[in-house]
Amino acid sequence: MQPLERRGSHEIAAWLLLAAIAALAWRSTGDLRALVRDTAATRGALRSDADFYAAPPVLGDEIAILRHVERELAPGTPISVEGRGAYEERRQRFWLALLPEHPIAAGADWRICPAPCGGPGDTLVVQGREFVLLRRSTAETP
Amino acid sequence: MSVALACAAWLALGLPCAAVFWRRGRRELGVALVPFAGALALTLPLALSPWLGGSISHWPLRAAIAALALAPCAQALLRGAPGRVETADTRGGALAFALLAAVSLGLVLAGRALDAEGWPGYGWDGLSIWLVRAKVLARSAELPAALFRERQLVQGHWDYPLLLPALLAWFARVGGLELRELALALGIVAACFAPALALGLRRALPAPIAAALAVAPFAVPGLVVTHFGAYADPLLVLVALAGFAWSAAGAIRQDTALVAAGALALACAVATKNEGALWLLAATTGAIALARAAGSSLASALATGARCALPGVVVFAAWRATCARLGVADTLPAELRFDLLGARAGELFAALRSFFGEPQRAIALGACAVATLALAGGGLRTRAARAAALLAAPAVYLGGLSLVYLATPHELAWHLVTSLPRTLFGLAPACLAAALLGPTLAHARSTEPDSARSLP
Repeated sequence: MQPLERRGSHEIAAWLLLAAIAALAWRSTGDLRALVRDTAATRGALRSDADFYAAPPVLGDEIAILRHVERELAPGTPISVEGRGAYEERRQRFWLALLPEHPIAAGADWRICPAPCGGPGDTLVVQGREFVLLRRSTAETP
Repeated sequence: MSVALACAAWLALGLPCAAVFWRRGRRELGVALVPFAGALALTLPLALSPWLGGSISHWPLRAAIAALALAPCAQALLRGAPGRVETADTRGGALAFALLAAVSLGLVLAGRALDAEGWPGYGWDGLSIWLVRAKVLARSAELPAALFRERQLVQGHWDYPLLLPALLAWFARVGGLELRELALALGIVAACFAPALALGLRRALPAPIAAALAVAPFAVPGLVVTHFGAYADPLLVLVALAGFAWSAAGAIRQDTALVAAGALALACAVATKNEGALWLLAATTGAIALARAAGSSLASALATGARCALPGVVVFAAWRATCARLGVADTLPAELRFDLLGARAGELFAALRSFFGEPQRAIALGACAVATLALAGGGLRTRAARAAALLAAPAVYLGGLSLVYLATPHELAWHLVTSLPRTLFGLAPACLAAALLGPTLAHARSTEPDSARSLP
């Protein structure tokens, strides 16, 4: 009889543990539920990846650069994406995702860089919020 | 519909590996391994593509070949003495797994709610590291070697492994999801791995305990939102926790099949993030310590450790060789600054004290440590030795991670702020696993024959 009672108490303890962890998990995932609630208002606003890129948390005003590259530069045209160290490089990697048809390459004729940037003779093609699209001057081309 | 097809195809890739366990009479492990083996089958052809002619455009075919190749690997891992297997205690199992099914459904619905029609809230790192890779893999015909060598992207962490982007790219290519919609894929991925963790432990632990361990990662504050932010750390916690818990339980119970399952889960951890290699080292150390504490000979314990580590070491070596072939800049360990260890120790200690000093973390970790000691059983010295063996894996992970932080090539303060909470997501669940395996270890000792117990 005693082992059965012990087994029963172990089982109750196991269920209590599961209930406690499930309750803690419910409490800890409150931020996810808040995120789902907060995004409910914008539901339907983003209908394509193009809308997604233009959203302020992603590109915002930099979207003009993306649009110009997609419209005006032939696929395969190399683009240099320049920054100022590790923090900027995160943006560079993001441009990489946005421009899969345009290889990212150092020293390319076209460059996206945080303003102010570029050298003498470079042509400003598009102005974004923080970044600009420049065409490198022929004299500067490596 | 195409998302369901992508999900079904991913899981179908795990079936050849699962069949090996099924044939050995370990149906629960076979089913539990399906998402793990499927993920490896998707990742390996990508990781090895530079050695296989370069193309990644025939994913389903290559992944199917990799899936078939995983079955003999699993068979090889299962060789040796048959495991000590007991009948699963099915009482309460249905209720516990119903709870897990509800958790999984919640994850899928959350992913659905966050995807296409709303702002997904991807984190900047998640977007620029993991989703970039997913998009590149989904669109490319071959692994873009030029990107790996591009000097503008030397700090792009292109040496990070590919399991998460491979899964997301699969959902993008086969399931037709766009970048903004991948939150749904992230929900499905978590929903598959979490119950698998519990299912694999069904013969080792009572159902509510196994379910509690599967739910535990979601009780870590911030983990789920970080997962939906497209970071790889939460997925790493799920696969590494499965690897640790399965291999530890297998080592204690001398259950070869459970150790083999843990080894495959740890290979997934290695394929998920660089920290996965640290989890592999930690879990292997833990498995050896637990096998010894359970009464195995040193040779037998080392064999258990080797079996536990083998698939992960192969995956690690294969990916590193591929990175070397592609010429990717190796951020670790080539740039580690071991000359700064002493100067940075105070800064790291202060950060860790602040991290562990938060009441919720302190209470959770303290409770796990006390529970480990309480549940390990035996006299004072035996109890301490068992608790040390149970907590060896989380301790090795924490120690290894601290060493990497001390030697980081980045500014330490920035590195701590941006990554410390994420890299320590798995610590509390691993400590909980250690505590919950305490009675199993105590039982393993008590069932040893007297002659074995009297051995030095």
